[in-house]
Amino acid sequence: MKLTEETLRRAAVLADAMELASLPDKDTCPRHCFSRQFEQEMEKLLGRVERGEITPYAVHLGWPYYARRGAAAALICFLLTCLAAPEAVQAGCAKLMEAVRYVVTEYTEYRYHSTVSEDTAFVPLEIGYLPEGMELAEKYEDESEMHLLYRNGMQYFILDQRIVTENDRFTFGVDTENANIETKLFRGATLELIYKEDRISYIWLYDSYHIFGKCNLGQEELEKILESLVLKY
Amino acid sequence: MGLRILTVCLALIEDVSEKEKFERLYWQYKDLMFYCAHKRLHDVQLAEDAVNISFLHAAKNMSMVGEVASARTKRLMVTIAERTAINLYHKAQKEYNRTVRMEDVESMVYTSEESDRMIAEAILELPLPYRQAIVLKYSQGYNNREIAAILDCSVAKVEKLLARGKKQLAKQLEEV
Repeated sequence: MKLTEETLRRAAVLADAMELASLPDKDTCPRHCFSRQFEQEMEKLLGRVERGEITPYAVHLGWPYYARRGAAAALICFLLTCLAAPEAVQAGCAKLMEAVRYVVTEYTEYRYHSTVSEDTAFVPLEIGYLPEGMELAEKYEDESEMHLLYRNGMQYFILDQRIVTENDRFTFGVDTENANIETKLFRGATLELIYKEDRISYIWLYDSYHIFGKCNLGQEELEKILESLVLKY
Repeated sequence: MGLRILTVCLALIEDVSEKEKFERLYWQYKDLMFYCAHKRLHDVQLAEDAVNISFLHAAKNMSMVGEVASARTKRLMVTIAERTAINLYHKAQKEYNRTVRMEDVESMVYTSEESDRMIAEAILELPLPYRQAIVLKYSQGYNNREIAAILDCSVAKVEKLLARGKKQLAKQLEEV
C-alpha cells in the first residue's frame, strides 16, 4: 500500500478523531479529587498567569499573540513596502503569497497564503553553482520539503525548500532583531535578504515554493547560487 | 495617538482574555489530563505532578490555544499531558509505551475508505512519540516549530520523529 502525503493526512485526521473519541468527554470523565498541594501549586500558577510572569517559548510562533502586538507595525510595513518597492507587491500576486507580516522587536513572522493545488507534486531544486570547496554536509528530503547544508570550513550555505499548497497554514518566523532587511524582485519572485552580523538569511517565494536559508558567503555569492537554482523535473 | 490607544486597549484585552482563557482551559481539561496521565503512570502523585507541569507548559503556549472547548484544543492538552507523563515516566522508570487499544474505539462508525482506516489503525499502533508528531502535523496542521514547542523538544527532533514515524508506518503497511 502506497503512503502518499494526502493519504497520510486523511488517515491522520481519522486516527486523531478515533483516539480523541476513545477518551472520556467532560461529562463522563471521572472526577479526581486533587490534593491540597496540587491546588496550591495551581493557585500559584494562576497567579503567575494573571501577573503576566509566564514567558512564552522562544521557538513558538503564535500568530494571534504576535498579531495583536504587531498589527499596527505590519500595516506600516505593508504601506512602506507598497511605496518603496511596488515591484515586490506586484510579485506577491504569484501563486505563493505572503499574506501578512507581523513585526515585533526581536522577530518577524510571515504568514502565507497559497492558491497552489494540493495535488501539486514537490519538485526539488538543483543547485547549479556553489563556491569552490563547498561540500554537501546534510541532506533531508521528503514529499513536501528538502533541507540542504553545504560547508567549506567555516563557510556554510543552507537551503530549505518547502511546497505550500492551498490547504496549508504556514507561518514562518525569522530573527530580525537589529537586522537590515532588503526586499527585491529576483527572477520574477520576491526575495527578502536579512543581514545580521556576518550572515545573510533569505526568504524567496519562487513558484509554489517557500525557499529559506542562510549563509555567510556574502550577497554576491548568495545571489549567484540562487540564480543557478533550477527545479529538477 | 489613536494607534497608541488601540495598542493599549489590545494589550488590556489580551491580558484579560488570556487569563480567563487559561482558567477556562484548566476547568475544562484538568480531569481529562489527569485521566490521561494516570493511565500511563498508574500513580496519583506523579499524575498530579504531570498535570501541574502540563498546565505550566500550556501557559507558555497560550497563543496556540484557540477555542477552549474545541477538538483542536483537546488534542493539544491531551498531547501535552501524555508527553509530560512520558517524561515523568522516564524519571520514574515505569512502562509507558501503550498504544490505543482498538476496543476503546469500537463504538465508532467508520465511514472513510478502507485504506484510510487501515492507515489510521497503523498510525494508532505507532509508538507514542511518532504518533503524536504525525497527528499534530498531518491532522492538526501544526508546523515543525509549533510541534517542537508542544512536545518540548527541538525542531530537529521533530523532523526525526516524523521521518522515522513515516518510515515505520510504511514498513507496517508493506506487511499488510
